Amino acid sequence: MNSRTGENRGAPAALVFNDVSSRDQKSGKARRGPRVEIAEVSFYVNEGEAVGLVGTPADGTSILLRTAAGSISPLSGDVYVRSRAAVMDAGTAFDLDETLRANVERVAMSLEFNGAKLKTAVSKILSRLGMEDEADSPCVDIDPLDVEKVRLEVNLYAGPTLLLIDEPLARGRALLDENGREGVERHLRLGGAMVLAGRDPRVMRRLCSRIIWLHKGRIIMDASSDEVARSYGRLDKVRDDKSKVEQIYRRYARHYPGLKIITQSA
Amino acid sequence: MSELSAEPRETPVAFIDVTGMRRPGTHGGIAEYLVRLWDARTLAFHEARTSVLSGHQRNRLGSLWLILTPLFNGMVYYVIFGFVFQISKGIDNYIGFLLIGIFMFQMTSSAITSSADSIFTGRKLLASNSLPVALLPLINNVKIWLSGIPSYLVMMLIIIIAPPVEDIGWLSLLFFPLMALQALLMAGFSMVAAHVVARVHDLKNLLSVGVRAWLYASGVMFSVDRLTNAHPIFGPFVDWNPMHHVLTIARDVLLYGTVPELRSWLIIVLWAIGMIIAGLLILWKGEGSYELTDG
Repeated sequence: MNSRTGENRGAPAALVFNDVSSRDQKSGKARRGPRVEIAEVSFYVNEGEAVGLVGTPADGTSILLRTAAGSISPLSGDVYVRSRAAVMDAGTAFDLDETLRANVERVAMSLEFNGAKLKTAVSKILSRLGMEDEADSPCVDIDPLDVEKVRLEVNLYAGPTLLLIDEPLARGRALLDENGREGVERHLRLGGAMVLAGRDPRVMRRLCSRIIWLHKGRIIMDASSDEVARSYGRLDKVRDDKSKVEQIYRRYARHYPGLKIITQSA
Repeated sequence: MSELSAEPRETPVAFIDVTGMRRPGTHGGIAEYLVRLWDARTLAFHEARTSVLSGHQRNRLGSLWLILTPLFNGMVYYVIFGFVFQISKGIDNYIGFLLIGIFMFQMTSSAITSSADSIFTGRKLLASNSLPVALLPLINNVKIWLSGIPSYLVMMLIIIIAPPVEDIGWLSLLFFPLMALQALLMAGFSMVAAHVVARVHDLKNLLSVGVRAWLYASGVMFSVDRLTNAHPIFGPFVDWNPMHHVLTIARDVLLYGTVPELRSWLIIVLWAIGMIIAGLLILWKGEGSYELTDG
């Protein structure tokens, strides 16, 4: 049972970040641009919950997702996951020169489907989206939105997982598509969880119950989707005035009370 | 911003039950780790096969080069050592002795050296679904076997048809369990090498030096007696060297029709099992601590 002062969310936690600091691991010449870090980040996502993570990669959204996936070890603090984490970001995109079927097979294999189960999974995924006719075409010849829909479906097919999505435009559209929404709802109903990262809270507002706002590696707001989207929207109005933008960031950061997590284990 | 109060609120406290949860990148117990490796078998073969085929994609003769390359190499060795230099070094069927040494040692050494960097080069495969790290050197080993099996066939072909012709009898069937043990040996050494190089990349350079020394201590091109006679200090290095025994058994069963010594089998089995266990344990323990991102 998880409880938050004055609040009880009921379902077991799917992802816990407890006072986590993390950063990209490359150093020296191997690293391009300034080092991106997240610092003292605490939040949790419950099973059956979709949470938005608004911010840019420079704010640490990608570092946070990769820390949750285990491809980056935290410098300090504790990260816990309940199930397998599946990542959908630029690094795990489909190979556009390969056929749609080959890409689906590859992802299904990495989700540990073998033999007859693999064949069944591939044909079910393609038929569920009505993509059998395009299955043997190279992805480069298929509408990018359709490719993203298939990619989402294959990641959802494996059953309850922690789905970590870094959201370019096509992926957001795939999520809002009827099949995508149904898939996500099914995923959450079965006990899966989702973190959707990106710089546009509009998609998150439609899919997520709450949004975490990350700025310069720190959480400055963790509230209902409507509240965060509204607050984030205020930035757009003053986007050209850097001092006002900074003023808003500072004000939200000052008022974010943080979250103290106390973990218990049987 | 009117909804913000003048003062920050008190920090809320959340009590979270983490029973049954794990740290990302870790895979529970060793038994669960082995199950996950087994579950990823189709992916491993697919990745290895794709890599082997794509390596020859731009060739006009395509995958035929998997046969042609070892065939030409074998012919060159045969012509140079059998006809031009007519070297025997006091060894019966020196050409067969040399082909077995070179082809079999090359298989082992290329598996280990190419697996050494496999955690970094194959990291993208793990990025999407937090698969076990041990999968990467193992995929590399499957790849080496898929591309190396033709070289074994060529080796046997030359032994059978090129003078001095050898009779392949029932004893030669022992070559198959020997290959299985060699595969375990390669996989074990590859996993350990992958861990060590992932920790300190500079050691990859030393690895090639070590493999060269291993070649001379295995009797690839000449009998190990020349080494042990040179100085007694080399004795234990040769005597406990599993690849020396792999080559000795292969030559016994394919060339000389001799029943291999039980001790040679036992030494290989000890090394193979020991290295597989060591490699799996090291990588399992190291899960979650390897650099798997581009930064």
